[in-house]
Amino acid sequence: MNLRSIKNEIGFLLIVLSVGVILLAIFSLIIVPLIFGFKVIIETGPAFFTTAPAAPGEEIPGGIYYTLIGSFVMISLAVAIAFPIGFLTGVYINEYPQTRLAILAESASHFLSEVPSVILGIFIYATYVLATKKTSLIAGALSLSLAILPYTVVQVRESLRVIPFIYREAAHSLGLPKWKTVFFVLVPMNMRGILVGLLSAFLRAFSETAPVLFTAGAAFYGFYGLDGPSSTLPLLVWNFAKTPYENWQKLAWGASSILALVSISLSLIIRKAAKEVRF
Amino acid sequence: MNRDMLRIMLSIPGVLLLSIDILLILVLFKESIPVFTYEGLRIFTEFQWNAAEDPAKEVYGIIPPLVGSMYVAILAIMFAAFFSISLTVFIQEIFPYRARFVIEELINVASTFPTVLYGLWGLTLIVPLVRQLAVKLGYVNVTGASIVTAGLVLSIMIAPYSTAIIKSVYACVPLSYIEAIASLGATKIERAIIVLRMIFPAIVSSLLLGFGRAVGETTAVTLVIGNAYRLPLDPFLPASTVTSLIANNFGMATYYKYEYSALMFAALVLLITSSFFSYIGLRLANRSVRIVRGEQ
Repeated sequence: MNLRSIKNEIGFLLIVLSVGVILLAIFSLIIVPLIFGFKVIIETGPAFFTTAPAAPGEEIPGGIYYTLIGSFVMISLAVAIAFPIGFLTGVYINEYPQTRLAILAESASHFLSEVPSVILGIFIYATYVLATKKTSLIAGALSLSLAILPYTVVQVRESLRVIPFIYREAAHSLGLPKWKTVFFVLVPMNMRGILVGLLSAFLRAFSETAPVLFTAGAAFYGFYGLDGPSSTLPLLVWNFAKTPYENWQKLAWGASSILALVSISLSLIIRKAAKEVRF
Repeated sequence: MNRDMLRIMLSIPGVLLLSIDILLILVLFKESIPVFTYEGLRIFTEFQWNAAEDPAKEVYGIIPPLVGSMYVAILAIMFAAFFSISLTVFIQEIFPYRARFVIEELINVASTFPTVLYGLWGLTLIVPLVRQLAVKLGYVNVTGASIVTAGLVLSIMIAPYSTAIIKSVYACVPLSYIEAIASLGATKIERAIIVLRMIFPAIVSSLLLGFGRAVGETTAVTLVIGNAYRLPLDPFLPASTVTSLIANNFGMATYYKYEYSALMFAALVLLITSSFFSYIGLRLANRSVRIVRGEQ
């Protein structure tokens, strides 16, 4: 053994050790909410999905019924607001590159993705919540849509950019105007990439907490329509995990297992779907 | 519908995006004016955060939480650098090729995992660990929620991102270089060190982008940092960051005359800081792409 091979072995050892630590950390991060949460859900039974949270200090944790509804409506609304804007901006940046607006819009989208998400929340608070004088589902959806908008722009632009130029040439040679080329040839060609973008937008909206902290309100005991306060799953975990009551902490664990499960499966699906795009 | 019509139609959302950004900055500026006219530059010298019923008694200083944000983020990227570099070398050089996808899937899942779950995980696992460590180091009455805890939790959050960036650049290094290194008889670790030196700008840029994320992260940090308003010097004591300050105080801030405005000012300063680092990170990232392509 010379000095170099000893150094090699030491380097090996250090790397394996630190990789062991981080993989253990990531593994426990993923598995802990699943184990703790499923235990709670099994104990509570179907009531976990069909009731409101119990009163603090009671035996049972109660359920996440209204939060599930709130989450679903708010996320759908956020995607419905952000996706069309993100889609069209992505198309513009890809179709008219090097124009002044494309460059500006791209930087704007990039800047928006760098804004800490809690600031997006207080921005909507300052503009929308203070103007309407109440927190609401719409306000939550608006702040979530700001959080996912830049990602849809990038996804759509990327999925159009990877299409080889010859298809565009072929479309033009048939005499198709540009808008038909874009919307009837290029977009359908990489529909999968665009759907992946849509799914990523859903996943992001589903897992963000900070934007909705001050905009969505915290209505865990009822659904008050689009104009009323609402809640999302991460918000429920955030609010109930911090309380000293054991049954509320259990409720937070149960909700976090749903959160983890959806997040894991969506990210696996997205990765698998994104891999298979070939031209 | 001719070509220009399409362009005009498509430019509407682009303009909208642009005006959202401008509005965002304008709103933050406008809302920070009241506290600035009230306190002036004292907001940078006061070391207390005092929301009082009587507006004359309100005092806000943003330096302690700002230092807290920086402290946590720097710790986080230091840990993350260590983790992501060893993960990259492990995946690229050591782990069997066919089994790589297992680690890659794990990292992928971790990178999209909800941040509130990172916080909950930190609260249940990392906080007790840090408390034990702190007790061993001779601290009494510590909860374990501290700067170092937040740094650790954030580093696990950033590491998947920076690993993905570093790994993709690492894999881009031309094969002829690898062959040249191998022909000189370098060991695996020596080869890894040479390649890592080549892609150094990419490593720095991935960490700077991670810095932007670390500074802006709210929920996970707020759950594990202990939320004590003080100038953070000792990494094992609780402190607060700008984001945790906002998360804890913003809900009630409009009841006081200036607190809302003070938090908006803190947010503005945070935004400027984080975009500065992300901008430098992005510049370096573009440069490193040119380097591995051999264009330098």
